[in-house]
Amino acid sequence: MADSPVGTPIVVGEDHPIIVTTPGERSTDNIEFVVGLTGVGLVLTGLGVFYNFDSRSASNAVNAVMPTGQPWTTGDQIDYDDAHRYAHDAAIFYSLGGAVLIGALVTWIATAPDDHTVVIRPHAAPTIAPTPGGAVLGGSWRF
Amino acid sequence: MRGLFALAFVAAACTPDIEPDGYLCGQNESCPDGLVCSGSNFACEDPATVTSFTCNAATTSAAAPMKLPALQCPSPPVTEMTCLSAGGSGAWFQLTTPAACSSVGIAASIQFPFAFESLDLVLEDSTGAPIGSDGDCALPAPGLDSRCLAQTLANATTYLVAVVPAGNDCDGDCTYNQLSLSVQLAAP
Repeated sequence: MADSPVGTPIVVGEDHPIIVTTPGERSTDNIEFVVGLTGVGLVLTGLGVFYNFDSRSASNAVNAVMPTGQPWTTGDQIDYDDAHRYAHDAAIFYSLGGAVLIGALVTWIATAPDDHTVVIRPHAAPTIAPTPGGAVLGGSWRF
Repeated sequence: MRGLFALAFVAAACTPDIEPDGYLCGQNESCPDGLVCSGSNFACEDPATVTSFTCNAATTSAAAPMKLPALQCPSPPVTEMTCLSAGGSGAWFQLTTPAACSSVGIAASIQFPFAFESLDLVLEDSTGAPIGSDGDCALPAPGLDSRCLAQTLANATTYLVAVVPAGNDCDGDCTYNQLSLSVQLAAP
């Protein structure tokens, strides 16, 4: 609605249109696509977390910042190799998951629908109805 | 973006953190990647600081063994620290049992690093003929390989305790080792 100075009555008429702005609505396809993309990103990131925990577990099995007094065994080597392999897998899934989540965010922003602006120009017509001993004054508006 | 960096940091933090000297050398000088087996302390060390194996022990043979101190029956353990040089055929130790034991047996063991060639413990008569062989120890030494031998002996008799290579010599690259021999006479 057009602004009016303080103290000035709001007049609705052809010279004072009503302007209504409504946010655009996303299509169902768009929502499903972005939600699906986000889901894929979360799944990929979840796999990264899974491999991260495996990697951490294998690493903790062989970490040695102080002398352990134990010989390096075949089992230690397997844990060592697993830790590196799982860390590599985790990094891949984190990267993929992150990229897909960013893609979902960019898609959400890029496909945001424009706002709709509607201008309503009402047509006002005064009405007078004679009554016994007087009349009733009114008005009617057509949008 | 900050979250991605955090995730990358978490992933990177999951690779093993193994400092030099964190582990002793495993069989056949095995160590974690980036570390090398040191011949001086048998630990996995930085390649820049690693030192090679040296053995300055006197050479012995079945014909010229090292004589162990006189043993009583029973006797406390007698320990000898020695080594086998590269390609060495073994180390021989001689003992003679007392004459007046009601019954006597030998309890011998060797402990040696896993890193280099495996060793066996053999009991021989005075001519060098094998009369007893070793087995696994009931109480293995932590961080070391060990072999144990127990056998009934005769009074007033000379025996040889031989420590000989048992193979597993890194395909010929580690035909040496350090060892600790313990010999004790006890009731069988």
